[in-house]
Amino acid sequence: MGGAGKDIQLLQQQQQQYLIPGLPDEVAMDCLVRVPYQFHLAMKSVCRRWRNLANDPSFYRERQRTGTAEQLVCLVQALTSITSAEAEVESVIEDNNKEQEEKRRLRRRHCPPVYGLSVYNLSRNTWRRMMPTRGNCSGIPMFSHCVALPISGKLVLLGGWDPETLDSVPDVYVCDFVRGGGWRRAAPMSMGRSFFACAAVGPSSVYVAGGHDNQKNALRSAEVYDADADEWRALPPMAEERDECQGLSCDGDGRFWVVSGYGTESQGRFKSDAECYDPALGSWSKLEEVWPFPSASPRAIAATPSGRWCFMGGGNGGEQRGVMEYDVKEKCWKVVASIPDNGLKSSPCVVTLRGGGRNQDRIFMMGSGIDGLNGGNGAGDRHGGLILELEKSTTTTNGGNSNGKWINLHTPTEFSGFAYSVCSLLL
Amino acid sequence: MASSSSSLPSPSSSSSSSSSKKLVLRSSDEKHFEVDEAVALQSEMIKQMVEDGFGGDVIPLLNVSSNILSKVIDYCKKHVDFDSKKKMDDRRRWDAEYIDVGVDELYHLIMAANYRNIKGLLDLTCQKVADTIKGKKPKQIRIIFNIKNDVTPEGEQKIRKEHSWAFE
Repeated sequence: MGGAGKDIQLLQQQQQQYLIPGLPDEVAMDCLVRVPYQFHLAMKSVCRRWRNLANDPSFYRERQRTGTAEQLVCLVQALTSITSAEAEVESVIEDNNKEQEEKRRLRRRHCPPVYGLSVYNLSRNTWRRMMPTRGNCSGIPMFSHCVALPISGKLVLLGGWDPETLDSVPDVYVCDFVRGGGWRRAAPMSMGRSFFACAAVGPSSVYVAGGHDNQKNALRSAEVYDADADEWRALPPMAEERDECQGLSCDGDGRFWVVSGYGTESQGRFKSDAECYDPALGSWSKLEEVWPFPSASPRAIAATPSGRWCFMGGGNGGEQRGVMEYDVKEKCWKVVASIPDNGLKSSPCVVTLRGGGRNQDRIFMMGSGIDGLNGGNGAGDRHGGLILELEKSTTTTNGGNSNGKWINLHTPTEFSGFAYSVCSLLL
Repeated sequence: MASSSSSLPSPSSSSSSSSSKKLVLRSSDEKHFEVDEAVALQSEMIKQMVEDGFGGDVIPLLNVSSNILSKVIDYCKKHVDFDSKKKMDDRRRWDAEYIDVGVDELYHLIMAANYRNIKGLLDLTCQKVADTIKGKKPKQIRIIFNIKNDVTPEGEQKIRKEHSWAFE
């Protein structure tokens, strides 16, 4: 009996062995990789083989190889339905009163914006928004960091402020863009933390360092998250406190860089140095003369896969206006491209896009106050997406303002709110 | 199958005398098709055969039937024509009309394009399969492509539930 059952099973398996009956799998694969990401959910319900296929990171590697992968830009962004309250929110941010009740009172009066995760599909030019399914509708933590783990197709959301209490939270959420499953609450950080440095290093590690705790104390502490094991591990602390610092990493280099930031007693005066954690050594090392702009936030620095650091200088913090690249040898920032004329009203968030061209890096920037941006009415607080295509071999000797090309992205009003952090996935 | 486009440039520059050199293709059901070399060379496989010295003989295409072969030749002819003009809109319109076929014929075209290595036609046909999947319900997809349903209703429910709250 058992043997006959096995035969039937085998027969069934044989019948099911083709992805598309009538086509060899290799050819069927050629067809299926072309199905846009938004229809993968339907594909997963067709049959087990299709489900296993669309749930496997190798399918997305094949999409990358064949040039059919879609570029997703994920943003932690304020919803614009209550945009009018945004200006008032500034006063909440500046407020140093630590009394919870006072915060609640302010919140009720000023009604801080609700944050969601916006997903811009660059390949299809579509915008969508993801919200957590917690009972309340207060959104994801304000000013939380989003980081992409490109190989597994996961997005990690860390820290920020509780939308109700405005306290720094230790919460971590993971969203798997390959297997679905929406938001999953992951192991939390060891403490509430916001405005910290954060970057993915290697296939599954996310490093965080600095920022400030619930009492607005700037932090030296650092920790690392292993997304495969869903575990946090403490790292040695940095030498300096660094609130509002910028975290950077680049492909193939296992190190984590933390640029600038400021101490509790010198709020708003950005340090000129940076620290670098090398997992091979298990320790931090310090680099002097990295950040020469004490009034400019380093958050608008993007690291390219090849290890270039590009900063979008708005000219507001005493720095030069333009796209600047850090020259490691001469320890200075050099303008390599210009920024659209009416430029940046506030410090933008930036990210290097994955799968850029062979000869150029592509950097996504959520800009603001650019006149005429997306046909806007000149209102300064409207934010919009832009892409900078930057030649890989820029020669800075000739002033080099012609090395970059900017592309304005159509940004619908619902997606024109302030964006705190951004990351990029290629699926 | 006679061609009027004798002035077309041939990708192969080995022959200096004539650009309207003909090749004869034979389908699986023993029908012969005489085509311009430039048209036949759209196929990487035939190009390789010609380079290897098979050009003077009849080229047998063992697993392509005459009705599919004639359709494939239509494609190659038209695209030799398009390549010399650069009218992208025309090309897209013609391609869309050309590929508006049933699943059976589509599979035969895919296999022919795959076997004969005609990149443009393979792209067009594979894209057609993907476009057919777009926006369809799983049940419709199964019917169109004759795929057996081995997902339990509970399993399907679970997948939908997992994803339903992914996007607002």
